[in-house]
Amino acid sequence: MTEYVGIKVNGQNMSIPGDVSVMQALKEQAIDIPSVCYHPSLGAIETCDTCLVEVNGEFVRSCSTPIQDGDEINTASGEVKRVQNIAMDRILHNHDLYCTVCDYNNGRCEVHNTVKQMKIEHQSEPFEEKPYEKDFSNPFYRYDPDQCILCGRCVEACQDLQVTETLSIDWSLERPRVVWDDDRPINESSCVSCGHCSTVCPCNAMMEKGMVGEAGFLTGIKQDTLQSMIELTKNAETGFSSIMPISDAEAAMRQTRIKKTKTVCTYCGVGCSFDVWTKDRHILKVEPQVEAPANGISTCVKGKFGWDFVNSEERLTKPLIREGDAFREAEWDEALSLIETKFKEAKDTYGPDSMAFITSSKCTNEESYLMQKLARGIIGTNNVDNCSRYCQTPATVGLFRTVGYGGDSGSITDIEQAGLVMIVGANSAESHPVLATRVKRSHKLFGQKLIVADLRKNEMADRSDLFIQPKAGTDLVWLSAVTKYIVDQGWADEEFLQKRVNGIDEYIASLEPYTMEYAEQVTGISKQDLITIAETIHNTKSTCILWAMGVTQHLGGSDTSTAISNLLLITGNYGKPGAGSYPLRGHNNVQGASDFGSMPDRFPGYQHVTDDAVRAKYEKTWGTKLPAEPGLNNHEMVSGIHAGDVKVMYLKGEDMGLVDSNLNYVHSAFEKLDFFVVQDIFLSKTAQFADVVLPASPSFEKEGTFTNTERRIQRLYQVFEPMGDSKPDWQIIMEVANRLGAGWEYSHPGEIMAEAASLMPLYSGVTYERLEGYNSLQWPVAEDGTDSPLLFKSMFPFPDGKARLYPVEWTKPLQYEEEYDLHVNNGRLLEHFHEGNMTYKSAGISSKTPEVFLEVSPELAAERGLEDGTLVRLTSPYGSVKVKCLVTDRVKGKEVYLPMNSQGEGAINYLTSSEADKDTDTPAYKEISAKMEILSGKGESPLPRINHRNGNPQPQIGVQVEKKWARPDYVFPGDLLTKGVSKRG
Amino acid sequence: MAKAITKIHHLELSEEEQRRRDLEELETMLVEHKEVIKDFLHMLDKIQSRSGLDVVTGLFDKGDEVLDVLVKATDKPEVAKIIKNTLLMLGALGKVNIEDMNPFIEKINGGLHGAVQSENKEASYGSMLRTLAAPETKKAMAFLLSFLSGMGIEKPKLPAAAAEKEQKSRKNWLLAAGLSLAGAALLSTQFSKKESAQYEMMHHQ
Repeated sequence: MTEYVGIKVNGQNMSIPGDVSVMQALKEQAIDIPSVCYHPSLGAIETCDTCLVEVNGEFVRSCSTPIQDGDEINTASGEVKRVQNIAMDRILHNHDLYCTVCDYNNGRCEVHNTVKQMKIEHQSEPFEEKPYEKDFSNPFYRYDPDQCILCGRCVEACQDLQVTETLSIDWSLERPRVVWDDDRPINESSCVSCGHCSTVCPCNAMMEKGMVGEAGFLTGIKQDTLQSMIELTKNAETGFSSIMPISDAEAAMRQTRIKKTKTVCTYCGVGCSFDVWTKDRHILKVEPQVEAPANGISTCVKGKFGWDFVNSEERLTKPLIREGDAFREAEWDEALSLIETKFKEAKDTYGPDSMAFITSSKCTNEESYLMQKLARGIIGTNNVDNCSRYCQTPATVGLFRTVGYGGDSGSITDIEQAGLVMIVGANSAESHPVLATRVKRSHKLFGQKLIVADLRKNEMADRSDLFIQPKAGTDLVWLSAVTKYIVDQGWADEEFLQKRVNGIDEYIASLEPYTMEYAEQVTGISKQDLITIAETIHNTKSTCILWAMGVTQHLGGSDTSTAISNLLLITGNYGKPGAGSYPLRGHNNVQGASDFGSMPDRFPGYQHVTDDAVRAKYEKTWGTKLPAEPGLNNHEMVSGIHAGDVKVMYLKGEDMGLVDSNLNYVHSAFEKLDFFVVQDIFLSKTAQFADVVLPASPSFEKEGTFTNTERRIQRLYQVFEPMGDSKPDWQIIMEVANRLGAGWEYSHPGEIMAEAASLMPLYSGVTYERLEGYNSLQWPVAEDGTDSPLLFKSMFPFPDGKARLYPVEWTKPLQYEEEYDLHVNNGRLLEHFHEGNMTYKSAGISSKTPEVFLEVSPELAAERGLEDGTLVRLTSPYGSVKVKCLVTDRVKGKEVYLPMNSQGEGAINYLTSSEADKDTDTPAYKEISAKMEILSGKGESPLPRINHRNGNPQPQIGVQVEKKWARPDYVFPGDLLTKGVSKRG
Repeated sequence: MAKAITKIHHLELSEEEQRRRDLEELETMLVEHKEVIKDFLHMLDKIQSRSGLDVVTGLFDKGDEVLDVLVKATDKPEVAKIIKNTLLMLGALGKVNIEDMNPFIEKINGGLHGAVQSENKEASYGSMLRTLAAPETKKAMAFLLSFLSGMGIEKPKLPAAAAEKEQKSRKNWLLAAGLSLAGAALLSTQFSKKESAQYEMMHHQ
C-alpha cells in the first residue's frame, strides 16, 4: 500500500504518494524542473546537477532525494534558478550548441530543450573543445567527445541495464570522457553494439551512424564548410533564444521527410518493438521506446543495427521458375498459373495428402493462419507444420501435460523480479539478448540468484552463482533428483499441491530411482551441488526456470521439459509473480505460428482436428468439409517424400534445407519432389531446390501481428513499400488459394485476425484496435479484451482446474561408435541470426564476425595440436563439415561447439542425424558425436581481433559519480552560492 | 530430380519495351498532375525570360563550391558584426512605437523646414527673443522637455506574460528568417549529396 505524505511546494500544501523521489513528485504535480541526465528507464544518475531544488532549506538533487512527510520544497526562488544555471553552464562548457546543423536536432535533444526551458541566453563559461578525436571505429555508432556532456546515461545503460560492462567515464582525466574497456577504440573493445548508449544519449555525442550527415537538411554539408557556418552563427547570435527558433523550425521541417514507424523485431522470441526512422529507403536509426512492453529501451545488435538485408540487392524481386539448370525470372501471372496447374494435378491424381505445407515462425500470425487454412480448407489435408518442430514443440508438450497451456507462464517482468532464475540448456545472453539483460541486471543490482546448467560456459554461466555442467542429455536426471530431495526434505509446497495439483502420490513414487547417488553417477554433478540447488529453490521466495534447445533437442526433450514443470509444481512456483516456466521461444513468432494452427493435429487455438465439434465450427466458418485425421509433421513429411507419398510441397519463410537435421537426407528428399514451391526473401538453400520461387516481403514491408515468448501479441506497421514485385506472404497465399477457387477477399491483415479470433477462444478478445501502436495483449484474451500477463493465478486449464504431475523416465542419449570421440554442441551466436542469410547482409556484422568457427577447448587443442585458425574436418556417421578452430575455455575437454552461422561447408546439420524426440519428432540436434581430422595446421583466426569476444570489460556499478564529486575542481552548485567559489564540474 | 541451382536468368526487358513502359508511366503522371504542370511551366517561362534558369543552373552545378565561398566570405568578424548589429537593430526597431513617433516626426519635419528657411535670414537678438517667446517655440520646447524627462524615467519591468509575448514576437520574425536560411541551404545540400556521401564514407571507416 502506498502511503501518502503531506508536503509543501512553493508555499502550497499537497498530499502525494510517499514512495517517490522529489523529482517524480514534482513532475506528477506538473512542476517541470530541468533534468538533463535523468532517464525514466535508468533512474537517478546524479551527474548533471540541473535538477537541484531546495528542500527544507537545503539544495538537493531532486532525482535522488526521496520525498518525506512534511518536506518544504522550493523550486522557484532566484537562488534555485541560480544553482540550476550554474549546473547548466557546466554542461554547455562541454557541448557546442550548433543545433540547426546537428543531426540530433529532432525535438528530443535534452541540452537544446533544457536551454530553452531554462531561458538561458548566454553561457558564462564558453564551450571548450576536449583534446580527443571523434571515434568512428565501430561500424554502427560513433562517439564525439566534444559534444559529450558527461551525463553518464550511456555508462549506466551499458553497466547496469544491458550489463555488458564496457563503458565507463574516466573521471581521473583532466577533461573526463567516456572510455571503452581499458581505454581502447570502440571497435576493439568488448562492446556488443547493442545500441543502448546511442539510444539513451541525451544529445549528439553517441550517435547511430545511419543518422550522421543524413538526418538534417543542413547536416550533409562538407565538414569545413559546416564548421565555418557554425562559427558564423555563434559570432552573429545575439543570445540562445534567437537561434533556438531557427533550429526548432529546421527540426519541424525534418518531420516532413523522416518517417517513424513502429515495428516488431524478427530476430528472436523476445518481441522487442521500436520505431524505425527512415528517409526514403534509408534507415536512419532504430529508436526503442520506454513504453515498448517487452523491451523498453533495450535492443541487441541485430534489432538495433541488423536491417541492411531489407535493402539488399540480393532480394528476390520477381517470381523464379526452374528451367533446366537455372531459374528464369517470370511475371506473377505465369508463376501462379504454373502453381495452379501443378497443385490441381497433384490433388486430383494423388489426393490432398500428397501435398505438404510448411509455414513460418518468422511470418505473421495472419500468414500462418492463411497457410493452414489453405492446406486444410482449400486442399483438404492436415499436412501443415512449422519450424517450432525443430525447437520448442517438446516444451509445449511438457507444459500441456502438466499445466495445460503451452507458453511462458508469466512475463519478462516476472523473470526480472524472481528470487532465483535457473537457466537450463539455454544461451540466453546470445539467443535472447534483451531478456538476458533483465536477469543480468537483477543479478548484478538486486540480489537475484542465478543457477546455470549448460555444457558450455556461456556468459550467463560466467555470471552465475552456481554453474553446473551435466553430461550431455542428462538434465532429466538431475532435475528429478533435486525434486526428489526437496520432497524428501519435506520442502514441497504442501498447501499448493493439495489445493491445486493432481497425481501427487503416483508422481512421487516415480521419483524413487532418482537418488542423489544415481544422479551424481549419471550426470557427473556432485551431490553437494545438487543439494545447493535444492536448498536455493527452497530458500527463495520465487523461482523461474528458463530453458531452450539444450533441453528440447534430445531424444527425451519432451520428458525433460515435463520434469522442469514438475519441479515447479512441487515447489509451488506457478501462478504467482516472479515464478514459473519459461521455454524461451527462438523466433519472433514461434509461439504465434503454433497458436495459429501451424501443426498437423491442431487448428488455431490448439483445438484438435479430431474433435468433431471444433471441426464443425471451422467447417461452418470456412464453408467447406475438413479432414479429421492428423497430418504429417515436418519430420514425417521428409520421410513421406522419400517414401513417395508426398509429391508436392509449398514452403514459406523457412530454410529447411539448412536448419533441419541430417541435411543430406533432407536435400535428397527435396530432389525427389514432383513440384516444390518456396516463398522467401532470398534464394535460400531450400529455394535452390524449388521449381517455383515466390518473392516475399520481410516484416518491414507489411502489416500483421507477432506473438512473442510471453504470449504477447503485438502489431507491426509497414515501414517500406515491398521491394520490386515482391509481396507480403498473406497476399501471395491468398492469390495461390484464389487460383484454386478459394474466393478470399482479405484486404488487410486485420480482417484475417478478426476471422481467426472468432474461432480461437485463446484470442477471442484480440482486435487490431486493441493492439494500436505500442499496446499489446497477452493470451488468453477474453472477449472484453482482458488479457493474462500471469497464467494460472487461480486455476489451471484442465476440467477440474488442477495441474497434473506427470511421471517421466530418462531416455539415454544416442550412443556413437568409439571413433566418434568428440561431442558436438551447437547453437546461436549473438550477432548472427541462424545460418545468417539476413545478418551477413550487414557489412558491420560481417566485418566483426565474418564466418563460422569451431570452439575447441585448450585441453583438446594441446592434445591435437590445434590453434586459432587450424582447419579441421568433423565427420559424423551422417556427414561432415569443414571449419576453422578457435581455442577457448568456454568449452572443456572433448566438447566442441559449432555455431549455426554457416550456409556452406560449416553448416552444422551436415553432421546431425534424423533421430528425434520420441514424443514430438523434434530432431535430437544436441546428440551428435564426430571425429576430427586436421586439414591445415595453420591459418588466420576465424574470429577477427575486432570481435567483442576479444574485449576486456570493466564491470562497475553505474557511472561512479562519487569520483566526479571528489575531483578537486568540482564544487556542489549549492555550496558555490554560499561560498562564491567559481569552479566547474 | 531437382538439384539445387543458383543461377538466375533475369527478366530483361527489351530497350523498346522498357521505353514503352517508362513513357506510359510518364504519361499517366502528366495527366494526373495536369494543372500543377501547367502552372509550373508557366513559372519556368517567367524565370527563363529573365535568364533565371542560367543562374540557378550555375548555382546548382557548382553547389558545394558556391556554398563554401559564400560561407567562407561571410565567416569574418566584420560580417558577423553586421549580422549581429542587424539582428540587434531589428530587435530594437521592433520595440519602437511607430504610432507615437508619427507626431514626433511631423514636428521634426516642421523644425527642419524652419531651420532651412532661417538660413536665408539675417537674425537679430530682438527677433531671436521674439521667436523664443512665440507660442510655437514654447510648444516645441515643452515637447522637447517632456521627451527628455520621458527618457529619464526608468522603464518598469514588463510583467512576465507581456515579456513572453515580446519574446514571441521576436521569435516569429526569426522563425521566418530561419526557414528561409534553411530553404537556401537545402538547395545546396541537395546538390552536395554525392560529395557528402564520400565524406561520410571517409569518416565512417
